[in-house]
Amino acid sequence: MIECPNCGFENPTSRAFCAICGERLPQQAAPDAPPPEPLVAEAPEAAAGEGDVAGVEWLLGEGEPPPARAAPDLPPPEPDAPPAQAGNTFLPAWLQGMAPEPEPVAVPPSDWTDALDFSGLPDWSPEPVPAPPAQAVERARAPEPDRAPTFSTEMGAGLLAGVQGLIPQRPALQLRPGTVPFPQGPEPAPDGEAADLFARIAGGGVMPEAVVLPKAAPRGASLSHLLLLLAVVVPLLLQLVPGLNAAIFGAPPPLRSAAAYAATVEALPAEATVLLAFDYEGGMRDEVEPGVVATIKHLRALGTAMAASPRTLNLVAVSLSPQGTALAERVWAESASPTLTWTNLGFLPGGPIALRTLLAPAGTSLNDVSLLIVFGNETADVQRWIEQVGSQLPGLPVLAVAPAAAETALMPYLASGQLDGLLAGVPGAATYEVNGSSQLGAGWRRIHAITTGALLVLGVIVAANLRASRRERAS
Amino acid sequence: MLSLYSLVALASLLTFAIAFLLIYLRIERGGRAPTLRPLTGIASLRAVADQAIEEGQALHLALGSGSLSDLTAAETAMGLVVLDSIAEQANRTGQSAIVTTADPVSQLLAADQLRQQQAGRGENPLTGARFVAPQPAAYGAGTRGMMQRERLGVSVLVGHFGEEYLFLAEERPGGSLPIHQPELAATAQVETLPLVYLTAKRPVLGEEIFALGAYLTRWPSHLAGVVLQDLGRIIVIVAIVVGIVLRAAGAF
Amino acid sequence: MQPPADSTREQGGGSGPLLATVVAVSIGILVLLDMATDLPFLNALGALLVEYGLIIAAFALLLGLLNVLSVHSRKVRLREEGWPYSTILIVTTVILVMLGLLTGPSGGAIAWALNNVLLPLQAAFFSLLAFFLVSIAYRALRVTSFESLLLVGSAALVILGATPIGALLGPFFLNLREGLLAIPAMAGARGLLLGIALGTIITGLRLIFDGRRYFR
Repeated sequence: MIECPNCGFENPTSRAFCAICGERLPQQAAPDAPPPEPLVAEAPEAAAGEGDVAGVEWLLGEGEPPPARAAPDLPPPEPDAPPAQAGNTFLPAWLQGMAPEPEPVAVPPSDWTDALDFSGLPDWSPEPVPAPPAQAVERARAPEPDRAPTFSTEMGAGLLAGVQGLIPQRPALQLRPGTVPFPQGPEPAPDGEAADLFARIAGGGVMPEAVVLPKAAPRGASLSHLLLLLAVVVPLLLQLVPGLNAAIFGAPPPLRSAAAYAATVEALPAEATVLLAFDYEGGMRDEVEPGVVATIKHLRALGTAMAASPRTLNLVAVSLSPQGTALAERVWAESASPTLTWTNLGFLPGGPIALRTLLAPAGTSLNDVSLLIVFGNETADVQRWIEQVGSQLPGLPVLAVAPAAAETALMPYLASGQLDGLLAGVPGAATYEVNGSSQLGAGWRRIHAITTGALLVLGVIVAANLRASRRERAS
Repeated sequence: MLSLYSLVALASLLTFAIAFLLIYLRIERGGRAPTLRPLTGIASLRAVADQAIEEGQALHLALGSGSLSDLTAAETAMGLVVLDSIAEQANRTGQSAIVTTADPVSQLLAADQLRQQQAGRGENPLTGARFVAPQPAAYGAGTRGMMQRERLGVSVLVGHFGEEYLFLAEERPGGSLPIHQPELAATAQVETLPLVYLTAKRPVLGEEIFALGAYLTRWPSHLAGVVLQDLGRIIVIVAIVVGIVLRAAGAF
Repeated sequence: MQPPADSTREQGGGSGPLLATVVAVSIGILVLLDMATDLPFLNALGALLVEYGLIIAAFALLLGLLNVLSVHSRKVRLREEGWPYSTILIVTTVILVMLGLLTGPSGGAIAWALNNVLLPLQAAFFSLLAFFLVSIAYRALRVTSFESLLLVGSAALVILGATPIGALLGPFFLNLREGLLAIPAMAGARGLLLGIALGTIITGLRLIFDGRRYFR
């Protein structure tokens, strides 16, 4: 008996897995363990006749028993015998009785595997094993007379010989003799492929026709497709007429976080170094870059002599994302100004570890930085600056530009004062352009497209709900 | 010289470390594990591997776009814990497991785990654990393509996911090559949680991801982690309440 | 509940894992102390260790590149499905690495490729998300109960509140939006962030102390 390490069930020694929970059982390498009956070595035909066992075995993908299972002093199996016997232990408890006794069956070895097309199998499947002839499969599937006499209704001997029982005798599965070629249809649908594969593995005789799974209904219906198309086309069309958007929608509302952002930038001292962290990726450019460009334009405006209190500003760019350096150069090329000095420190690999080097006394000192602005892809990009740098330099104001989706997660940092201002997505940038930096740019251009899109998405939600309720009422 | 901030941080970390060791020893020596409340989906994670067999497909575990050297390290490490559990289950049944990641280091660790699990099966672990791309967008695109080309129908997403989560979880309306609904998705990234909630069959939300190990392995260290997480939560709640009361009383 | 015996899973308990644990724990403690203290010796040591971390992180990227190349060259060799794409990937990688070595990481050719290939591709790819989101909205955002009505309603308010529509709706709706974000949403976000922070700390502790089973 082997006790299952998982559930404690006492399993027979022949088991490799627990009959209750399926946990792999520890192998008993005890020298006195009785060797399994050398059934495999007895008759190759018999082993070949064990259709079920061989089939289940290679369905399980165990081409041969793992080395751990072979006790060291067991006689090695005959090299040319199929490793069917080890598969017995793989059968679940309820199938153990079904495994036929090995009797010599006078069936010529069949090479029906040649008639099957294995090219469709994925490359992880095992080498095709020579499968048993169909009669053998039938015999193997048929109930064993001495083990399950109740299955048989025909009395075998004596006075009642040949008398039929109440229940007509029929095999549980009607199998066709011989090889049934699998129908060559058109390329099956991807969804049917798994069923198709199973049909091929299960053997030629069982599946006389291709499995056609019902095609899954496409998610979303034509109405939503129309609305999707509108969501793309309408904002584009509205853009074509200058001033139309503003006439329809007007200006974005003042957002508190954006107002705080503008005020923090305005509060820069007469001579200041601003550290800009370009941590966003190209994929989020459309969400983040309007805010970035607006910020640099605002800083540029503060640097000119025209400003109410002209300032000398040094911009230092650094990025923790590999693309950030190039994105920073791109933004700078668009909004460069002689009134600002620009230094790009480049890409720092290592995430928060890199931030530690910025703080280290040997590295660039952050003590003379007056403002830190993080342009991030997601919450975590802003968080690591707040946690690693902001916490170490409590007097340093930290601002962030992030996608609109990050707004909720960054709100706690705003409320606690760890973050001094936030531009969330295009709406944040548009508000900042209108109410803060007083220069209209990409945020202003895009806010109306976003408004139209948002209205249409709400339309989709309403349409989906109406449709669902109508369908419910109809049923 | 210690600043007050650093002092508090160090002291609380030290307290946590000692508490962790004490709880760990208590669980390991005493052999008494805490009772875990049933968490939707986690209990049936083992069934996911069985489902992959039924569907004749390789199991796909996505570790997300996080890395082991960032704030996202804890999530990514939990992905590797889940990998250990799934890979064992998959290997037991002769199933292949494919791991995709955006972090080269976690790729190495995942490959190593697969190699240990699949020892003797002669599979190339490099094809099992795949580094797709370091950028989130490229990771999403590459993994989606892989899922479609290789018809990975059973996928488990555990790790750090941003917006690219949708590429791995949502089918394009009317798309011809299917992306199947994730069997289980777990992330601590707050802005991704709504997407996880709406798309995954078994969503594991927020900090629940850190309990995955305890539920799957029941190793003393994981169980001690869960117990300590609960204790920490209670301490935080008490601190918040005390702070509110003191503040209301005008203490600071 | 009895924790299962996992003796079969130990991968040998030699001195290697123990040494690794000792190194990991002591380096972790050193860096922590460096962060907390102002001692010149500790600070210098901490800076050195952190720089090692940076070098290892940069090396990891190289490792990733080699892994991608090995996976795709295998694909091409075995003519697996989609191997032409793998060929394109390998050729492009080699060309870009060459150009990068010649002109520098933000040199003309690399900047050109970034501006004209990578950025438009990434932007286009992420804009596909809009369609996915609409698909989810169509499928999942059903008003079946009072809670789901609240969910859909507040989603609409938060989305529209930041746009000019919000300004049109008037200050009441603006305040409602800010209130939604500042009270229920922030309470939820704070709870999540605190829980995640606790989980992160404890996962870190577990990794340090349970060194024999790193990441397992």
